[in-house]
Amino acid sequence: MKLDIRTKVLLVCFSNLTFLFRVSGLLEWLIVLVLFSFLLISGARRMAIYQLLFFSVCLVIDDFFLFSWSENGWMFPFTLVRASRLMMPSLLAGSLLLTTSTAYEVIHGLNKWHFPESLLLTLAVLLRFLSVIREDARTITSSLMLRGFCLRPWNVCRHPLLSIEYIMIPLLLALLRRVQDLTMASLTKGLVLSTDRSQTFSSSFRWIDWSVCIWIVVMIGCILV
Amino acid sequence: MDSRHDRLYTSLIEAKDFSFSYETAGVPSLELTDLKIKKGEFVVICGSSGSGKSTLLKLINGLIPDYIKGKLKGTLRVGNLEAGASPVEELALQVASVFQHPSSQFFHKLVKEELVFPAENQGRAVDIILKQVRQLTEDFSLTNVLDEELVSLSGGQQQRIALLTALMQDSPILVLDEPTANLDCAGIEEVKEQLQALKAVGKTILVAEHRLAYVKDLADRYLYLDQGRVMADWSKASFLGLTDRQRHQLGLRSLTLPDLSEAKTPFFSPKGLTVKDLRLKAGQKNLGSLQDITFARGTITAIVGQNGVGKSTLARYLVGLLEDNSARFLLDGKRLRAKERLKKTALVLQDVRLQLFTESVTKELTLGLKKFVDIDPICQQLGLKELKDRHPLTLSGGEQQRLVLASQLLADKEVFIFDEPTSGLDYQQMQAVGKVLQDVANKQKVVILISHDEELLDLVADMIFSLPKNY
Repeated sequence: MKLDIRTKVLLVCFSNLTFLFRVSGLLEWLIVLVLFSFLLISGARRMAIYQLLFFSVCLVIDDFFLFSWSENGWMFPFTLVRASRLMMPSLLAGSLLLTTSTAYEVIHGLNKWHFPESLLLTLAVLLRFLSVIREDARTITSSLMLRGFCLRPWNVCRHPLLSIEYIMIPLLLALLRRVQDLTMASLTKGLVLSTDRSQTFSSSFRWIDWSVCIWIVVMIGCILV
Repeated sequence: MDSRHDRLYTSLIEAKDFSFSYETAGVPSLELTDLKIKKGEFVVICGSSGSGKSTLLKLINGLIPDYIKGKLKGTLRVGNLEAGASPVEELALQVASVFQHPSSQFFHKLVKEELVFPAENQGRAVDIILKQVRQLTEDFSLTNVLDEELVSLSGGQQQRIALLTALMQDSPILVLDEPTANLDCAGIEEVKEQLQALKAVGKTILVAEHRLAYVKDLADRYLYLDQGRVMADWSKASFLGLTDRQRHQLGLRSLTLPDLSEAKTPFFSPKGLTVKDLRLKAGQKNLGSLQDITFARGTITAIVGQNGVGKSTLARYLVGLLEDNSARFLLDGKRLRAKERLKKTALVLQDVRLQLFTESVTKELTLGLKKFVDIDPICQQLGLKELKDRHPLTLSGGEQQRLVLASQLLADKEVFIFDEPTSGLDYQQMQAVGKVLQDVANKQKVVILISHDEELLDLVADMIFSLPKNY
């Protein structure tokens, strides 16, 4: 069961609304579970399960330890937990959009909504580069480990500036090189030709997409009421 | 036949008193006094690194001066378009391009999406695009991979898809910039077969290449470039008539590859890195297992095998980035856990730029060292003395490679693993890398070389360990 790219974008917008309105209680659970199900069905099972577990932990801490923590001056961790919990729907919807959509779907699907071409290409390139960023970051961290730098989260927190210097800067430079290569390859394939682009593999709104739209409308109604 | 007819149909690419200089360079990077390339010709552009091969191809496909700026003089005609006057998108209708790295030239995720990409950009009718995809994938036996993700394909298959995508552009000219630099023998063979078929249908093909062995049956003509000038324009017969020694003197690779079938098998040595009962896994996928292998000190042991067989994964186990609890890793008989292997081993990657972290050569050399070390002797030895204040990313590829090596030697590493150190290098640069490997081995270190480069293997490998497909 595959959702149309436009439905995924609608889900992202809706989940950001839930953050703005600080939805809680049963409605919160319902929204998280529906988004979790879509992520699970789309094939990103491990990511879906991790995110649900994370949400459950945040929920338990927030609901059961909130009072005693804030009393004892643990405001900073408490705020982090609360923020993570509130951002969970956005995180799930964002994961659904980014991990289960291809650049092709982004360009052609959102073109139907007359999105500006420059924005679509930026989004397409972003999707294209997610796997590249992961691959390059892995190479950089491996190389650092071989140079005697242990990159556990604790070490990154202890030396944030050094971590930025040794990871972020080489990663950004590597990405710049990749962007240059990809731009050249795309230009030679006529990416900026001014003709109307054709669409070989089309997608359309199906019953599942319409059902999601109806669900979103109902949920917005519940939130506002 | 009038002269206009001649001009349009005899030579497809023509340069007259043409020169090009990059914006930052004072002298021309390419000068073409009189060059004509006929329709249907297969031209190999050869020469040492930096001789202007890629510049020529980028001028033909329009990336220069549209994307990479510079100054042009004279005329360079490509089909019925003028280089410099026509934008890259217009030239894309005349010229299709294939680049060195398959992974950085694909815009889309799925094979079918990538194949239709140039045809969709041209706004062609969907039924025509689909018909062409069906026809081409059938002709080149690639129908079964249409719904696959590009990253799941082997290097050879990826380059074949890049070639098919170029064909979908329906352009008469095809330019390829070192298309086999990252491929194994099987991958090269696949690309060769496909190029043979393209030549047969009359495409005009220009290949800039260091690896000349696979094009010897295909090429009609060889252009030899040196410092941006065409120094020789050989016919097939005259180029094949040169000896390998003459080619080497020109910085070119051999035309006949050494026979490595008589593998120099690893022998038991008490001193070195021994691996026992290792099961290799890439994620959840089992790649195979190794019972007992020793990489001896003071020698260079090469690991060869097809793309995707697990050579780089084996390297990750050897350096301690991956661990198999049932395996034993012994250095000179002493067992090493992953953490200890990280301290004792060095990995020099093909793209060493991802292994450079600081803003100067001096800082790079001392990064991670716990105690004071005099860096001068190693700088002297590896030719880095004059470069100590330079930013590592401003160095040439060879200098960067030596810098990474120097930093690892200063860290007192015992095992050195080199992953494809000579891909895309000319003969002289390949020899220079070979010398560096031998120097490290002469220090009684364990040197492990992962490479598809037969010439390098023949030059330096003392032992060759072939990783079979199912082991």
